[in-house]
Amino acid sequence: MTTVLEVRDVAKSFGGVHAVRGVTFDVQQGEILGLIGPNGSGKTTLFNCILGQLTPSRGDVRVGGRSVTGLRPSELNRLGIGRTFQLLQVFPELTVRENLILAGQEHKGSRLSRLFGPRDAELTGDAERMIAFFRLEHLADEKAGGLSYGQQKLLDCAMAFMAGPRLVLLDEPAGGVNLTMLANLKERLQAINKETGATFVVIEHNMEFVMSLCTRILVLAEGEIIAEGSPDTVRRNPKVIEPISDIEAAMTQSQAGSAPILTLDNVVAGYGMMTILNGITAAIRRAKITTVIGPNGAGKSTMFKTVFGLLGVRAGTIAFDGRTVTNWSPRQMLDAGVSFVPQGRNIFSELSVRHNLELGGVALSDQSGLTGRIETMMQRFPILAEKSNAQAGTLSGGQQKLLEVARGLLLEPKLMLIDEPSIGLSPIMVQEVFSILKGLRDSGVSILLIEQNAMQALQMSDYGLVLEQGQTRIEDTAAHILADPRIAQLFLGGGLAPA
Amino acid sequence: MTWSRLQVPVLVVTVLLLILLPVDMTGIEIPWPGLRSYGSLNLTRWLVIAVAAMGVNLIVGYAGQETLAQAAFFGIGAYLTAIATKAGIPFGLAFLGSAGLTFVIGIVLGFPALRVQKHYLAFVTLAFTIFVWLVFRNEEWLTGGVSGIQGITRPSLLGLSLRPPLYFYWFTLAITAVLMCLMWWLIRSPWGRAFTALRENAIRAESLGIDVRGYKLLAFAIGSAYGGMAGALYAPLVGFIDPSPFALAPSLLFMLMVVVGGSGTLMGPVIGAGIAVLLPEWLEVASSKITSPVLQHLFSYLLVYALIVMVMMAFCPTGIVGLVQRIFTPKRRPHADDKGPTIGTATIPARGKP
Repeated sequence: MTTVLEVRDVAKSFGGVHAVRGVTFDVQQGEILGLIGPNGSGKTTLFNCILGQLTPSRGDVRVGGRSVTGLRPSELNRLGIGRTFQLLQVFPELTVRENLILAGQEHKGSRLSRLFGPRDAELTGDAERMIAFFRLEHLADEKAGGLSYGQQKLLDCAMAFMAGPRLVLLDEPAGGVNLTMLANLKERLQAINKETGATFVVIEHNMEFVMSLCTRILVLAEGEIIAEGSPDTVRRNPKVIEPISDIEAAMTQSQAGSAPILTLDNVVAGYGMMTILNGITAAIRRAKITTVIGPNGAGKSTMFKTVFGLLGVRAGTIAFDGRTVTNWSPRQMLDAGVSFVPQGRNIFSELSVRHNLELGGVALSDQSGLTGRIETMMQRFPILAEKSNAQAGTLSGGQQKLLEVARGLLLEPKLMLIDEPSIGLSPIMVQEVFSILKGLRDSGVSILLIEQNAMQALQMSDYGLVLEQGQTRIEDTAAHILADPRIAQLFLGGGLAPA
Repeated sequence: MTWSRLQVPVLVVTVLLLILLPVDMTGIEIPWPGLRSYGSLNLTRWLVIAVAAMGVNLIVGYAGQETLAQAAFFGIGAYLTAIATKAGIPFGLAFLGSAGLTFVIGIVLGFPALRVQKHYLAFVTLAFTIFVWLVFRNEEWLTGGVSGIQGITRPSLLGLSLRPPLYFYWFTLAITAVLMCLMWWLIRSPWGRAFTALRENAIRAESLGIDVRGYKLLAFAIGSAYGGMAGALYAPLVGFIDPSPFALAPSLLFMLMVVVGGSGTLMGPVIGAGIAVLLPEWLEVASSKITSPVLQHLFSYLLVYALIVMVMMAFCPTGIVGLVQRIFTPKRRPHADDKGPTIGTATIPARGKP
């Protein structure tokens, strides 16, 4: 076996924060190595050090025996090292096919030959093969920005493989991908590994995915490797804290009497020529958690944006708290008591945590209570108090999400729309976020949630709403939805095995 | 009828019209007297400005960088051509020299600026424009200072003098067409794709092996060379150059032309330049018929232009080309589709497909 990647005592500090503290490991040819660990353990920083996005403070990275420390990402890529990103990174204005051709073009010929030589001759063929391999045929000529999250995630992966790399570093390939597509992704990755002998290093929070995909696992905590071995040995290692499923069985609900806080009546909305919501009708209960589930592209995020006024309502009506709010502006919705935590990262990364919270209070008509509200938030989320003067961009992914939720809560909303809060969070962090949401619900806030982690989310929810093709398919208590065999089969990827 | 299907016939008709526009056709029973010298010269000026704006569009619209130096490059091309042709060097060589020199200056100027963050290119090009303008104004031994360079003659082509405005217009039209085709070819090439990639997401582009710094530099240098070539055509067109058209304000106007026309589109800078050049001419004619001095004031070119820019930015940030595309794109009425598949089909839904 040959060693593809050697990481020797790599460390990285930001100011006084030691994100990675001297990590050493090898990756063998053909291996699928999993890199797991809690939020803030330094996984992505380590990736960025290996890939030249960051320069390590100390240590050396070798690829095929050659030191590559200090090379730029593009140079590393041309040496045959591909990567995907934790958050989506495709070129929205280019089509799926153009995205793929672009991903391969710098690997063929010289820069001059790319200008004067035959255009994209082999690349077109490679792109077609990659499109077929990732089953994106029906989307090949769509602009990448128009695809759903999961589809873009597949494209992101396909782009990393376009140039036939020998080593690919995947940062949370499963984040935000629903279980049906996840199975597809895993199977495709394994097929590539088998066919081309390509080596993978995978950062992942989805334990089931990572344990079944990888041949070896490294566990990172606070910037150091604390365990290493086959999935089975790592699982049995006492140092590795397994996510404990402390979630009680689905709750029983019988509050059908309370009036809905939000109702949608035959709502139609979309982007440009595309109609995404094809007449959604739903009633969201007051002081309850309702989870919206459905396949990628079903219109979940679009529904949130439409309710919050970021997207125009083309037909139908939306009512909130007894008032018709169809086509109200986001500002009006905020004033009415709705706050929205969108998918992805939405913090001001160059500002401090405290400034981020202060900005959350800009919409308050009475600014005098702001400091008090911020203090309350800091008590509720101690990590934010601890880091209140740190630049928000230096927080880990999970901490950033907490900051966003806290910022949304500053306005003391009646209804919170939260889109995929658990993307990129470790299982323990997910539990923490979920328990915070439950606490909010108990204090009277209504919560409407989108979660790719559908089963877990439904278990702590009161109600569920199943969307498909921009329409409501099922609207019921979460317990009933969890028990519905159709749901298990379709959205949860076959069977409700306990976590 | 979609825009893409209309494109070719519209282009052919436009080119024909542009060739025939200044020609007197009353002799063949068409009631069009053609344009006089002044009109031909104005059309030529539009083409020259359009070439420089095309360069800005490559830098700003396609590669997502910034430049406030296009008037400086325009001036370098103009002065180089003026000095060279007065020294007896053929126009063709001066033209290529202008392209080459501005390309090289573009590389030298961009190299340090592109190593650091994005906005530094704006600062560096701003300083460069002021520097170049001062050289034009103060180095009298070379540039003639504020009195400029006079008596720049138009070249001849295969023994035919291009002195008549109509001939020089056709000559410039041909060069503009060639440069436009080159631009079209470039932005559809892998280079063009790389430019778009670094505009949209430079970090991802870098991770796909795209040498972001190298491509930024190329886009900047090629765009600047378009400025140089436009300048080379400008000098024989006007016959007299002084420093004033190469200051900072015209550099900003080049940016505005691209934005008004439609940044990141092939036709955008041509349309934007048309408005910038021909609008003041038309306004002058219009205002000469107005007697009230207050109203006459309202017809001030910059005032109207500024209003157009502000209205465009508010209602159509994609520029005039974007507006036209919006008009010709078929609209689909939103409707509640009742025939959505039942829960038995768990396929990956294709967004945007009917």
